[in-house]
Amino acid sequence: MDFLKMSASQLAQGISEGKFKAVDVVSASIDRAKKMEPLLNACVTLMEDEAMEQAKCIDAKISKGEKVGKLAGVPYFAKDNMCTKGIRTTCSSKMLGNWVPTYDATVIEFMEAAGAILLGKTNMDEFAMGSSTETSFWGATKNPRDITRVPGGSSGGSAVVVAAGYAPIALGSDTGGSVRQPAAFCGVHGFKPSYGLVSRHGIVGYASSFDQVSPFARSIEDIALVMEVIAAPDARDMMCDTAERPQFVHEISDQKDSLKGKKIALFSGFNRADIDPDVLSAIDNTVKLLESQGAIVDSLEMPVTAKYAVASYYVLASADASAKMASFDGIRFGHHVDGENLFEMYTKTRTDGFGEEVKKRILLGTTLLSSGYHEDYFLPAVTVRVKLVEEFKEVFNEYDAVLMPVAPSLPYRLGEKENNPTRMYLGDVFTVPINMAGVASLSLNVGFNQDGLPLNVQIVTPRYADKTALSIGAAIEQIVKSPEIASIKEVE
Amino acid sequence: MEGLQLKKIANKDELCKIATAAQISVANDRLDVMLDEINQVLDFCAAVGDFKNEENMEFSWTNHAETKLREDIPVEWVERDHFMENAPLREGDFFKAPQLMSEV
Repeated sequence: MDFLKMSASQLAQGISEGKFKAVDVVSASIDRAKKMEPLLNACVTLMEDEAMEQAKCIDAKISKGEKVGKLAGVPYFAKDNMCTKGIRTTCSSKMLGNWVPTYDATVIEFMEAAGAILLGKTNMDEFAMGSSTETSFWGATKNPRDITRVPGGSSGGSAVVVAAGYAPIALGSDTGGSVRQPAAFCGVHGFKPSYGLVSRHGIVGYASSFDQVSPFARSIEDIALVMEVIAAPDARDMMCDTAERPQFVHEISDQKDSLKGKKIALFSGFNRADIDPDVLSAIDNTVKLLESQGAIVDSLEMPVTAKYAVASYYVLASADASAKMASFDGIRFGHHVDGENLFEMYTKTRTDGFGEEVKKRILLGTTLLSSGYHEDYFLPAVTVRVKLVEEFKEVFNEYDAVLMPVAPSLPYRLGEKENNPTRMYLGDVFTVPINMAGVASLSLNVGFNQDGLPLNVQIVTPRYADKTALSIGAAIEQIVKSPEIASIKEVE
Repeated sequence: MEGLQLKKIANKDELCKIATAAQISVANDRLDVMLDEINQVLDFCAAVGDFKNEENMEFSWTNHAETKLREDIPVEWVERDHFMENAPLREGDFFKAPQLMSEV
């Protein structure tokens, strides 16, 4: 039985019905990870012993006839910015290289309560500041669809473990596209829930008004299953306003034939010459598919989103990050370098502990919050955000969803954009508006090009209409089929 | 860019002042590169100036997510000792930090 190819849903069902053992599933995942890691570098920490112990506990419970959770025995990985009690959490930074949290993030608690087994912590751009997983202190992660290319970022490691078959599901965090873009680059599905649906307690955040915990999977049913586990009330995140645990799996299975009559806005506020032809083909083919199933698709420009979103995002996110990163001071936890006085110690610690991209964004954020810059950049950017929220609301008064690309390009070569910050930032042009508006968005794999590179599209729905995004995704997936595990010729 | 000319970092001295405020030191041989890269990003972000210009903007604040307040009731959490284990320097139950100012 090839456990690696099975979905989380199939694994949980098989394990809970006693058809196979959690220890065998976890063992297969660990073997796969150990085989692939020298090539891909997707993991910061692999938790073999802890995972095997947990698998034995799940098997023991099942053999005694005890009740287990809906993800019983299913292996998963979490981005290394999610606090894990007793397991180091580095944010892929020297600053937190040896930091061991004393508590679990809420989503880690929820996954454990559902019986999921954490196999490891995944590589990421340092403190989630990047779009290629190249700024990690632990080195770059490679794309399993083509190891000469980046996996996207910042949750690149989590996308890779799902695409390469280490596990059927993984958790990432999405501040400006950090789950949807790596899902698109690695050929899996990634879902950014509505802002407020999932607790961020215990997540080392980047920009709090944008951050959202988000799952990766190779099937929409698995995304829905994880969402049922992690979307729940939590008083420890004051922006988490989920009243009760929503049900997603039943909803999407009921609505798989429901594209008929759906009104979809096709975002057309971009110059087609700036977009890779294969990305455009994926969008055009998805439009044809939607129309063939009875959906109504209209083009919409959305001018605020098109012209101002990405510039405003980098103003607001950098300002937010510079304030948040002040907590890394070398006194209470993390990296420390001695100094003659307090300020010298702060400066030496932060200069030595942060990488170049993080330092640049802190300096940029500090600049933007300074007199003169604040009036020129920050206040207009805040106002753009208000207008952008209104623009999305107006669109959703008439349409069920917006269809748009995830990124303007296919995964690019490692090192290609490392020294050109604005080229890298422009890659986020389709993802950042979603975080600014707080709405839900699915990065849905719809196939691969002739070179085997993945093609994803983005389905955006109103805030708290997450089920609609997953229902549309499930209906499309029925026709285009779920992505398979990457076959990596260098090791297979 | 077209439209309003927005403020940019004028020179290395201004960058050093910003770095001091951020408590980060930029090495001398990195100052030119960092100055150029940050100003490139400011150029990139200058589109917000066009918005200010075109929309005759009046400042407004977003309210797309309400802060949920909880009752102010103390709860049991992890022990203080566990937190202190992560302190780089400690003295008894206290974090240890260097003196605020050097002696003159």
